[in-house]
Amino acid sequence: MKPDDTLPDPQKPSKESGHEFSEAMPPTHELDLDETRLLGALENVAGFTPKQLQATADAFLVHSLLLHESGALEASTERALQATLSALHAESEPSITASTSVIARETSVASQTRDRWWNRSSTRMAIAASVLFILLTFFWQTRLPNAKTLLAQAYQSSLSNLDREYHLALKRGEQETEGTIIVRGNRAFLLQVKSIAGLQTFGRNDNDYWFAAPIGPVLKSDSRYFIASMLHQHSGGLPYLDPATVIQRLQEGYSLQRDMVEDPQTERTSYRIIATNQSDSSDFLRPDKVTLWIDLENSRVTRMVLERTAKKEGSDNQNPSFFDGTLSIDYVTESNLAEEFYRAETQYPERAILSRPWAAEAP
Amino acid sequence: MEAKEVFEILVRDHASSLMVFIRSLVSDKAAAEDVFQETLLTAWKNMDKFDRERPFGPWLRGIAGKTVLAWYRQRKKQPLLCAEEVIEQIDQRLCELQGLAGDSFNEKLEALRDCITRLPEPYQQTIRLRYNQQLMPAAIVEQTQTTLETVKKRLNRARSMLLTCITRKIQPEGELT
Repeated sequence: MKPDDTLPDPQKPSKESGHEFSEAMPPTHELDLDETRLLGALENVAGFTPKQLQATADAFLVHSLLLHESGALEASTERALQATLSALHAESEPSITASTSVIARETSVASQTRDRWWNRSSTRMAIAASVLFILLTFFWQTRLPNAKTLLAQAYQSSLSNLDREYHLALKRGEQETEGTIIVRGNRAFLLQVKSIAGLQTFGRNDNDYWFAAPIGPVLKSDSRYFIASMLHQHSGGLPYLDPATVIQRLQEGYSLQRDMVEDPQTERTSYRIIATNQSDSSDFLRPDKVTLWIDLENSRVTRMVLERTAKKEGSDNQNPSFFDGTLSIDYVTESNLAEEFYRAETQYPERAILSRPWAAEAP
Repeated sequence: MEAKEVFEILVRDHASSLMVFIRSLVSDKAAAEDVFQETLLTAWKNMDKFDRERPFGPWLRGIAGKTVLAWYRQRKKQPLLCAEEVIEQIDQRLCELQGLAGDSFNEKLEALRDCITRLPEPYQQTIRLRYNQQLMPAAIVEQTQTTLETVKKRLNRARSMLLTCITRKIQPEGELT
């Protein structure tokens, strides 16, 4: 393309314009396409070089994005969408046994369906309009909520008074630690971790924290530092992270993306949120990446995968080995347990219980 | 939640990006709507073949690409107007756009809005006239007191600059499409 004498060259820094963009513009291929070609049908690109093809495709895409941005595609999209959804509601379920290719029958199906809905009598059109109105109301509720909304709903669900059991699996290289946690919101839990010595049990209720080794007395304290210390020493790296706490932490300092996919655990369609840490904080409870699967019906978290890599030397992380790796939290079941369930006396009625007030300070 | 409801949610979430994809390949508005509808109907008929652990957007665009090619093939009076390479390139770009910050497709296009504001004023003006006011280049000539050649060059260069600007904003960790 010849330089345009009437314009400042966008590929050269322009001190006068002060436009950050024009200064940052690198040498790149020009989209040497005539506007009329863009507005017409696609050209026969058979003789194009790969670079010309790339430039052509990019030009078409940017043109289309700009059309979208200007709102020019909005009505078109909505019209086509509503027509299709209306047609789908008028049809039966898809044939599971259908084996023809994706493209083989699309024309006839689409044409027949549109004919049925758009090209018949005015009476039918009136009925169709009524149905469309009802469906529009319905469709309004079937939009995919944004990630923050999904997260807020999952958080509310995780705070419920129901007792939810999750299976925990922490993978650090070849090493794997498993456990089970039963949680009631973010105020009570019972965490059991399998170790070589036996079952290590950690608990919390409204009054205190407690820890039971495979043998010996149960240790109890009203300090959360006590349980943090016990976890660090006896949980094999498994942290105490209930869904409510995790979700609460995701609401700040994480970039969120969401979609709908099949939950690999339940094999049901679920909402999925991928949260990526954007904060520089070395807080050991801030995983680098968290993936959540959320039940479509009740916003219950059915699966969480937390990934955290070791912090570099010099980090203020006090426990660099604590929860490094991939932690999976999989929903098992839900029940209504008595308040007493979370008490050490209920779990270990035969054991002595020792209070540890000396552990009330930070480790 | 029933299959149709799930399908509707997915389709609604991807409708805008699907239309952008189709309009990149089919410039005629009515034809693009046809292809859009045919794509969705085909997708619904083939939902049993969709691997639900994979992202929905690329799968939908895969169907749309084939539908576009079929649409061109049916109009034999015209030459083969579309190339698979072009379709793949646009699909790849849309995959990359998912790496932009934001939740929905519209939010991700905040990057495009920002890039437009960074264009030098004559380019911004030409883009605004062409797209926001939907003026044809000849009409823009009258508004800007320039030549047709200048308007065309401004549009082409502006698009090129916008593409470069957006590409720079894409985050490598974008996973959902």
